[in-house]
Amino acid sequence: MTLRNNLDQIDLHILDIITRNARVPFKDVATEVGVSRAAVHQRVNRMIDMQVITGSGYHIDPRKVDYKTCTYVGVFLEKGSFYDSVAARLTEIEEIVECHYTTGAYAVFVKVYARDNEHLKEILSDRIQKIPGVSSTETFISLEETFKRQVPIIL
Amino acid sequence: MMNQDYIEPLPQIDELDEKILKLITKNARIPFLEVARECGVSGAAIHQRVQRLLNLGVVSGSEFIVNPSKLGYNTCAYMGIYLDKAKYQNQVAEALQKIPEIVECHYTTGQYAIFIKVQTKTNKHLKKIIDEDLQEIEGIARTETFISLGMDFKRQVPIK
Repeated sequence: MTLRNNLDQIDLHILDIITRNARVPFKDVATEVGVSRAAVHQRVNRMIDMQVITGSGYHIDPRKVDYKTCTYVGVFLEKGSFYDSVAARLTEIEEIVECHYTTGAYAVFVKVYARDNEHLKEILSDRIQKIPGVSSTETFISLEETFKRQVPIIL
Repeated sequence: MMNQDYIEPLPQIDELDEKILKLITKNARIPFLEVARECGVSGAAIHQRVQRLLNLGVVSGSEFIVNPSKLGYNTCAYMGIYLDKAKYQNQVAEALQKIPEIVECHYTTGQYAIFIKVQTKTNKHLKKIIDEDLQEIEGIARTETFISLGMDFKRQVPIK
């Protein structure tokens, strides 16, 4: 038993398999882990209830659906207290896929997918910088995503 | 080198593909028959379409999404990495890939050469990664760390 929310080795083993392939038949998971199929169902449902698992999905390669530019943007606020209202407005911009409240130089740090540099400019100058409370932004364009993966389940 | 070497042609995706993508990116275990019913085509057609999207690389697989904090990963940080020389980029990226706590790695414009996302159990664990693992890598000059105090949202790109 670990300290992580009372998840045992069997739970972690199941997670390790289903985070790599969400459509693997639970029958195969059961065989690999060495428990019954009903047990796999039960444990997955329990982890969903506990919000260890927050959903599932196929990964899209953004470049193949015409989002060629991936960018990180550091946002400076006029005042720290604007954070909540700015974050709410950022949620409305669909091209922003991730939003964090960070320590360091920037108050808010977001990840943006745009079709091209022109689209990125439009998102930056017409949308993000127009939000009341945003004072300026700093942009880092990703020229290449070397890798992207989930947290290690079993270290 | 020809210009077209740099241009990746976009795969042909029609409205039905987009409808399928919308459904399967939100729930990877949705029965294909249900997708079929919603799109008004046969189950076999959905299987074929999904296979085609996989072959084209539009979707690269599926996953259950875990909540890192429920697994004990309580610290999320972004780090900008400065290199001694730009030519170390590839070897440093390769070394970074061997550290499982690094979940994302980008080659970026701007002041940093490499930009990474790190998930660790605690701040102490993050310090260990910075002090021991990253310092070991030849070519890294210094790093700058931004700890995320809260993630407001995380989602996939919109499908038009």
